[in-house]
Amino acid sequence: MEHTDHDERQESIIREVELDLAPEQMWDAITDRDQLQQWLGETVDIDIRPGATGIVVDDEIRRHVVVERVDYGRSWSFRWRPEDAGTLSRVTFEVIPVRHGHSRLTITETLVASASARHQLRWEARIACLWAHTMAFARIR
Amino acid sequence: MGSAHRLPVGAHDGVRPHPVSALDELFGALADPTRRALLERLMRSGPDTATRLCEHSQLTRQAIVKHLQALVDAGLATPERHGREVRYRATPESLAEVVAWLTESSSGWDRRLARLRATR
Repeated sequence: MEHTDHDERQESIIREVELDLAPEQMWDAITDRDQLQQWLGETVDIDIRPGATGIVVDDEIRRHVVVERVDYGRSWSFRWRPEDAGTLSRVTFEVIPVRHGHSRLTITETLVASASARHQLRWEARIACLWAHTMAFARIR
Repeated sequence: MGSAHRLPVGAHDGVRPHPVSALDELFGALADPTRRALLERLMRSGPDTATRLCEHSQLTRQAIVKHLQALVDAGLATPERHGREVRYRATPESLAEVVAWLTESSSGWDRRLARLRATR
């Protein structure tokens, strides 16, 4: 079992986890309601088919979900938005077979913006620096 | 000069296929090097007028005003009237929301994946 973080695509948050689960079992872990309620959130009410809407409550944050794409047995994606904060993002779960009885789950979460703005999201790192900058100046004053 | 029109990054009602326009404006404003330079200058030196900003730039006053307006539209700056002049003040708080999203989202997945591993 290993867990690695990626930072190659700065506009996205990517997490990977490799488990001793066959791809079919991993697929169940990321689609079966009872299994999802063991890790994705304390309440998970999603019908996994394109266009379906649902709810995930995690850490007392209630998120509205819209299922986008389902590639049965391999990957599925959804948009979600916390009820209070309102930031819309897209999450993709992808199952990759590793070796017999093992598979890897890749989770990608990306802030949603139009295609024209997407490349600009790579400014994220600079924006963070800019922000740190502001804070530094705010303290000096 | 209209009042500052602040666009919190999260201001969006409902999960929709449409772009988050506030985000588009925010990143659109920051995608331009001139606007980044203007914003940084406002952040370093404090509120200033288009005329004075123009003195430190190769650009025309008209071009500066256009860039400042883009910053205002993105919620990154706000115009303030002082007597006869309008000073632009940097309001980069909206950047903090993006940084906060990244931080919260990252820790959220760390938490969820820890739970997923614990079920195995």
